[in-house]
Amino acid sequence: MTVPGVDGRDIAEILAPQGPRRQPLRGFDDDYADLVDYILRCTHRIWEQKDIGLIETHYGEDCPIHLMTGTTYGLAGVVDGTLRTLGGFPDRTLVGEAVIWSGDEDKGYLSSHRITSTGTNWGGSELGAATGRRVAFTTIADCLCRENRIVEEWLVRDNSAIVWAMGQNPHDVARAQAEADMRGEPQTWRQAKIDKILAAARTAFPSRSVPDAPADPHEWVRWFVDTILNHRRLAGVREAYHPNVRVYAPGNRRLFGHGEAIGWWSALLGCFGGARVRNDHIAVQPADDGSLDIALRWELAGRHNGPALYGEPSGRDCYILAVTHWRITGGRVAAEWTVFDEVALLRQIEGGL
Amino acid sequence: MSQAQALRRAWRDGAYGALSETYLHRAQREDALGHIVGREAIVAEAIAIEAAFASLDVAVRHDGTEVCSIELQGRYTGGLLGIEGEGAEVRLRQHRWSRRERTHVVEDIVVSDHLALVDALGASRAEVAQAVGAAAPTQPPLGELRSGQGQLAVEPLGSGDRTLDTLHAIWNGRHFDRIANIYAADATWTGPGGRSGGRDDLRTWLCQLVAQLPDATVLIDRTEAFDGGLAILWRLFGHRGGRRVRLIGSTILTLSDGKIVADDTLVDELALLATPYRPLLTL
Repeated sequence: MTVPGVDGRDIAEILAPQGPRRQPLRGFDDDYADLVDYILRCTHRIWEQKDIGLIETHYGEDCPIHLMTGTTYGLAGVVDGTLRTLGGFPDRTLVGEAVIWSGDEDKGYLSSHRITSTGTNWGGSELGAATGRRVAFTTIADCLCRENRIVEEWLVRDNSAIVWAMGQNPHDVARAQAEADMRGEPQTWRQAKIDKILAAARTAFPSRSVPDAPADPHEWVRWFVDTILNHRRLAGVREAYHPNVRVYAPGNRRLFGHGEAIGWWSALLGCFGGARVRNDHIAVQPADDGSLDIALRWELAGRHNGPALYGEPSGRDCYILAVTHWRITGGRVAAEWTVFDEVALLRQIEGGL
Repeated sequence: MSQAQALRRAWRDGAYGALSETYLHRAQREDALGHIVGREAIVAEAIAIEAAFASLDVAVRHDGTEVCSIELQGRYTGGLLGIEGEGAEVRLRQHRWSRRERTHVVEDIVVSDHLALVDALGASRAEVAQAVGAAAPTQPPLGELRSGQGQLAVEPLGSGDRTLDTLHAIWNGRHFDRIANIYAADATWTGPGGRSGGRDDLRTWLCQLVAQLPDATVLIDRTEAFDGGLAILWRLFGHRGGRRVRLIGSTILTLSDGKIVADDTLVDELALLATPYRPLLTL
């Protein structure tokens, strides 16, 4: 049975009862028809209907939540975090743009849920005092789901987009957060992650020829990370991407075409000397129109020694946790979304975390 | 129902519910200065347009599957672009490109002849551009305009469509002499800012554009072929006064015997004037 995605479906259709199971979901609540339904409807129930307590039946007791600022454990933290965010943006809507999933009911399903959120900043938040401004930002939540519970989550949110929309500068917010960090206990988890990423053996110089994404999307992703990013063969973007590609990058950047796509990746890599990128997880799903959706969770480590994007080089080792989604049409990238927390990155640059 | 018909029903009859039903809940609308998110916001903007006019009427010039060309006409009462209104009879040309998932619109791109509206209302171009720009912050530019070409001359487009390939040579290669290759001698051209005329007027406008943006580069976003014509959605990039200009343009061509007999082109030149005033989101 086919698991329908988000394309072409209005919210009324998405949130309506979906009928009998379309996918094996051992241990999931009876009214979920498939994983996409589970993700979209529990997001709506928790965040929009404000049934926040539903987290108790939808998250594992010790669920780790991986953010770029560290890992927290336990569903109590998830409840608190949800309430805090809603305190800042009480009318937040979470519009599911895509759910790209992998796995099965035995190993668990891993969903990569891209969300466009809108809301009004009526209350204070971790990003600052209330401003009354409308914000729109992208989040991607990668969730490992077993028997109705999210047992592990990786959450990336475009916090710099929120801060800009609030009329603040992300660097100022990050600086304040870093100053608070430096008054606390030093953390070691981040350096451990950086060391692990940088210690990975470097691959041989790769061919630039582009793998057939529809035929072997996992190989395509590995090629992209190894050839384009790690070996900096950015010219390959012109072969792998359509000339009219749309690229969405942190800070609500909306870019168009090969020049801006390459410009984004090269500027990012240029900020972090010796930057290495590591694949964490790849998921692939067909879209209704014959396109292919690919999700990649990745990490980057490098020394901040380039000024292109994030101010004067600080010389600090930095870590990025990110997710990129691609829509592949006709064998080439038609759209790319990359989300990571630039405020958390700036916080590292300012000496925090 | 086409988008043009849905818009006309909304603006003429108040059928905003029906307009809303043509969109997916997560639709987004983009123009040269930004974007709005969500069906409700898109419909609210349509209502705001009605609110700016008394006796609003809508003429549909082209009604394709993906693109429509419309002209709003009415007595302007205020509320657009921060311009006060005193009931002057004005027109506003728009091209609207819609992308659908199944039957519903998920993305609108709107190109408006705002500069012609500013002029018709007797408002100050500089003042309006400054106000509009100040309200539309933008990220600093990334990347180059002609990817990977370096010192090489502009390469042919190689699309296989003679009209499109020649337009690319004209726009990007500055082969203005090739206008005569694809435009009929008596072709009509309707351009932005209320301009109109024939082949010579098109060439004059292209020269003026390049004079403002010497590195002006046009990238094709998408096309729609229709019976008797071709529509092109394009992006214009260039630099002026140390700032990157990023505009959206739209051209609807009527073809006869392989030649362009009518060219309806729009690009929001107010957005070009507003560029220097747009705050840069610099970290």
